[in-house]
Amino acid sequence: MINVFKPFWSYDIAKTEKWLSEMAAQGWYFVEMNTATRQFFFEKEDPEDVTFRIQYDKNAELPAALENDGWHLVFRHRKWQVFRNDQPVHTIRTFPVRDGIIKRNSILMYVFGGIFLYHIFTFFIFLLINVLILTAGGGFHVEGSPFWVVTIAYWIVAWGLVPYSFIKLYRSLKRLKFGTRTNQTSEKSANTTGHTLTKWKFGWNYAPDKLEQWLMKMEKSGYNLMRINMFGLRFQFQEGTPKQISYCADYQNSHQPDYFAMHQQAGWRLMYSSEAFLSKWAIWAKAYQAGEAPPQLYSDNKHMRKHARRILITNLALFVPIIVIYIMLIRMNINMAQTYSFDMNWILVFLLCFVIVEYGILLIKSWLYYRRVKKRAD
Amino acid sequence: MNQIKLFKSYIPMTETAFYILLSLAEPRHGYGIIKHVETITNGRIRLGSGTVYGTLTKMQRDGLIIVYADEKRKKIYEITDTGRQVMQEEIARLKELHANAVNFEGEFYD
Repeated sequence: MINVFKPFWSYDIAKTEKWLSEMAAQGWYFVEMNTATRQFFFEKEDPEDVTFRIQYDKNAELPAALENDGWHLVFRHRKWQVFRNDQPVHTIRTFPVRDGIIKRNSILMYVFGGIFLYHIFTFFIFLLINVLILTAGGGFHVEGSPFWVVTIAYWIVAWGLVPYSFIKLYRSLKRLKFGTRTNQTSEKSANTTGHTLTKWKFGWNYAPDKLEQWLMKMEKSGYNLMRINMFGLRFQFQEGTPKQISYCADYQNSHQPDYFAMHQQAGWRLMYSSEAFLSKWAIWAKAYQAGEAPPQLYSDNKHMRKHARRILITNLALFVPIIVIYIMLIRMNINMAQTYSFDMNWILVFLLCFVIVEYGILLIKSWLYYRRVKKRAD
Repeated sequence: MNQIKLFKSYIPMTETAFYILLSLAEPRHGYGIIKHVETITNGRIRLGSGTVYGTLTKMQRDGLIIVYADEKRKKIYEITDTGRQVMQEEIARLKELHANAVNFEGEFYD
């Protein structure tokens, strides 16, 4: 038995799987691993071409279809599962899914990215202060650390390991997702001869049903939607023929890998999608016949209400804390002005009030939207 | 989630959930479910893809179904043992409903 140390094996899972196959081709078969020390253990057998898949899932059950296709579990530790298939690779019809790994590595990527941004930010502040001191005629005095080892180790982690992890995860995730989804927005063949019309829409995500109705009305009056810009604000139409097209603006907290494929197979065309953190919107379009009811993404009342509630809850979670903090800031300002008897900073108070009112309006808009959907669904 | 809680949250089933799980008598992909339900209900139920996506995501989280991919990386859904048990329970309930409907329907016709 031999063991191999692979510290970053989970960052690029496809590469690790390929490596396990290459090892087997040399006669070294993966039997187990130590996820803490990041060691892979191999046993010697006759060399053969076998396929490995690594899955990250709390569910321990292996689908019957995979079992019938020759897959079997080699190793399992917590959520990690390693499957092996001894059939020739071109005859394998079914594979374990990547969803769990994509989700896990996305979270890791955000964490590393956040830490790295924080480091860059604090480092620039440090630089800025030093430049200010130097230009003011000050000097430096480096205080020797009794634990230089700790300082240097920290620097290696902060400026080496963290950005390395972030970039590595970003790249492998892009490759993994590329294979599973086709979320390219479909643009209509750019027929530039017709007259175009550009409209701007702000804040539609607080009343998506109004946007849907507006887009449907535009299509009916002969303005066909061509594209929406990446921020979801600019809508470009082309003057053409009146069409019956149903639009649905859909919000999800996270996009499962087959989100796009499922809607596209069901005949929906993706007009816009945003992949921003906590704001995963997609605008879908589907043509229908005159006399037919416009097709909807959600065919039952339960899911219609659920979708509207998801939008309302997300906006509440975003805006309520900010409103509370700003109200507290205003109170603090008033209190301090009273106790230390100095002039109030009225501009600041006015700005804070303005933001509170603004966010309040957005919240009321989302709540009204929720009420409209509920009324329609009941 | 423990078994009793799970059964309570799924039974009685909504028509949508019932037909989605019923169509997983054999493994299918998402759009396959929509087509199958439309066929066996003679076009009465046309499930929206958002409804199917939401239901499948929840059922997968609760362990009623499990997923794998085909060679084109399309996702295929398969019912689990837990899902089968939920289905048996629901079908027993529906049989009772049906038997009582047949027994007493005459009373409503005159």
